[in-house]
Amino acid sequence: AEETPLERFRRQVLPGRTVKDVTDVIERTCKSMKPGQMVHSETFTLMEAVSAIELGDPKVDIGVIPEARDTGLPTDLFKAGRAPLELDLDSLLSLLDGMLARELSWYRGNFLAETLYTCIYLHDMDRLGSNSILKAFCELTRLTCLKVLSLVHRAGVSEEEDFCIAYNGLPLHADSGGSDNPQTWLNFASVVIEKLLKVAASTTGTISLNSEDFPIGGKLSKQDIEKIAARIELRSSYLNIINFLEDDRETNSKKLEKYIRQAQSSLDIIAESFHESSENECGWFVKYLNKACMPAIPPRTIDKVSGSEVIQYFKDFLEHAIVVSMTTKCKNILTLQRHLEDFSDRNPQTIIRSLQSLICSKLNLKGVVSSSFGLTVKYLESEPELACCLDKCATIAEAYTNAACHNKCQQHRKFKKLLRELNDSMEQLKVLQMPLQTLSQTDNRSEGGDTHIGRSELAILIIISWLCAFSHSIALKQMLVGFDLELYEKTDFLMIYWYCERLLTDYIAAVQEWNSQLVRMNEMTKKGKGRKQRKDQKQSIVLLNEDQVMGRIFVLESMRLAFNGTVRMLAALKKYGSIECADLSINRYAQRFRHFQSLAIPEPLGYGAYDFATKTGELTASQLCESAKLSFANSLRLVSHLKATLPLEATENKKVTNTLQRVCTTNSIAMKCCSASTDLVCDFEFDNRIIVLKLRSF
Amino acid sequence: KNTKRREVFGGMATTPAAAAALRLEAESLVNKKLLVELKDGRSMTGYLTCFDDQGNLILSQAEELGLKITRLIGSVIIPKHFRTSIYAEVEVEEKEEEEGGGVNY
Repeated sequence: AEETPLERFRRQVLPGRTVKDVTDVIERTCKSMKPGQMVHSETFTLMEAVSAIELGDPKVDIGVIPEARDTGLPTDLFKAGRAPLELDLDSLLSLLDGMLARELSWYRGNFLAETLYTCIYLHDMDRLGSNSILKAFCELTRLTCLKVLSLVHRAGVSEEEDFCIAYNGLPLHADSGGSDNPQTWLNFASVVIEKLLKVAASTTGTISLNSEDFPIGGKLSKQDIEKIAARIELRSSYLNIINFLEDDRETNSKKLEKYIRQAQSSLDIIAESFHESSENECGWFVKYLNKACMPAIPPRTIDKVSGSEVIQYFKDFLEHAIVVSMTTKCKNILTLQRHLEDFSDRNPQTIIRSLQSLICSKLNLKGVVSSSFGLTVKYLESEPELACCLDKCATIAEAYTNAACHNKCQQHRKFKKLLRELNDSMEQLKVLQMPLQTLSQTDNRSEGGDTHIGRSELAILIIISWLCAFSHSIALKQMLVGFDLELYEKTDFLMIYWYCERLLTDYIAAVQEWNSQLVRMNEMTKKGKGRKQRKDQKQSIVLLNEDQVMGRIFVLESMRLAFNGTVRMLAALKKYGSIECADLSINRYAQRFRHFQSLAIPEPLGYGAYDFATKTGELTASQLCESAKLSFANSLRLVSHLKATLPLEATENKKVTNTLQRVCTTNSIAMKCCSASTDLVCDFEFDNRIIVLKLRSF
Repeated sequence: KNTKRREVFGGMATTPAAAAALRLEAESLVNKKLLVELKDGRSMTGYLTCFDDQGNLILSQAEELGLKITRLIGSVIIPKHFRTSIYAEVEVEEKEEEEGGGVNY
């Protein structure tokens, strides 16, 4: 007979102790207590009482739910015949598709124990030996779970609400007879797929596939067999792609292309034949199967995932995988920023974001950062102070890539923290610069005599200017991502765009300052050549790409003009009474830009500057309209000039320039209409976070 | 004389000394390991953190004992109406005193 809990409790008592019935003791003591009186331990707090689960309440106590109580262990369910290994085609496809759907449910932030691992089949891999299809699919599923958990944990770019990495108590690791080596099961799956496709190729009409390895009942056509093979192929390709992107030794892009092609063709077949959830599969997916390792409270309702959502997830994954694989082509911070912003705008899921973050962490960030400064790594590492600066900036770059791989909501928070780190770094570098400045002032040798000290000082200035520009770009990004998160009310738009314009103005100035310092450094290096120089000083120090710098300035200036036009446009609409703007109070301004107030860079502007700049009392509405149109026109001119003179740079910045062209053209036309008629209703849309004015008549 | 000196403690007449001893015994159960049997047939073990005048108990590090599965839950409140019996793991000496002593209940 089974041991009762009381018998087990007695058995587990420590030596020198015994078990005593204290029901009566507690009852009588409680009755004697005054109302509200408690007896508690010294460490007891109200928080503990509030957070405790009340037993007996089905909303919070899973043990009260009959279905949960009555669910047995997987071994009990196997004995009861709930996981047959001989299945007909429809049942098999329902099972495999049910697992795919629940896997996606896990990716959406639910517990693994409440989603994918409610599948009984995943709880004993050894018994699947007589069904190679199930064996291949389930082993690859298990290994994919292990891989995903590992990379999401290591990347650290997700929060609990995004993705749940809890898997305690689930049979994710192979039993003694099995293997956790992905290649073992990928090879096995590939053999199974090959066998299936061979049978399919030789099939005309229908055949029975009920064999030792493939116990599938009923008659199957060629297409039916291909449907089965496609699901295993998708599993295999998915795991291969994840392994490829994670492994920094993998450089053969043709391999990745092959996996992606295979996955895409599998998805096409699955899309046509996906089996949505049905009554049948209830026997295979048991809600409370893992109640021992589920949270104490009952699981919240988990939304069903449809076949189209599964297909869309994998399609998006494949598309994003191609983008992620291009990360290694980013040679400087500017291209890396562009790449990560483009990636982020695709709203990628947790797994691909984790892969992106891991790839970024393997980049040679010192090389990337030094290219961004415009100075060679060799030179920077030759001077102790400069080497220290380089290390510092590489750390900043790492923090940036980590922040940029979070979802947008978390990016908004992370970029604030990054700005503070940037400011701290700049302060530290300024401290480094001071002794060098003193040395260069006391050094009265001739210009060519010893440029060594002057050059180091200039190098630090270049780095500080670069950090200043980088800081502005982060601040701008942090402001603009607020539009994606709908953080701003319409009445705040004027204030926000005005501040973005100011950030761009200072950003452009910082870039120009950095560029001019770099040019000076280049001249200093050239002057030094030909004279008696140390061997290491003869080599090139400066990496200057004038076209890239000019292209960047053009793009930033075009953007600034577009924001300038937007501010005037909003001011004009306010004058017409078409829109309301926020009450121009200091409190609202301070509240909105609170996180910039403690920073030196970007310079925290006072309310006065905003008030002065946007005080449009002297301008009429039509003058504001004209001013807006002029700004939009100038922005368009700059974009055209960029395309004509620096086509390569225009292509690199295609996304931004196309957006600016669309927005400025539309808004110019809207401003013309506004000037002509005031009987118009204004609506706003967004094009890459820049406002687009839509007008309609009453 | 004895009747006059008795007080009512927990609904039963008892001596003041016995009442005090009972109160002490109950208080000594705090931080001890208990097994609580519930009305729905489950059993819960955990460390007694608190109990109140309504008979509600709070156990920390609570585990639900099934026939085959033990489920770790954490902190739980067990309402009086939901429990049937309470057992405590106590030192043997206490029990020997109880058996040999003259405490009235």
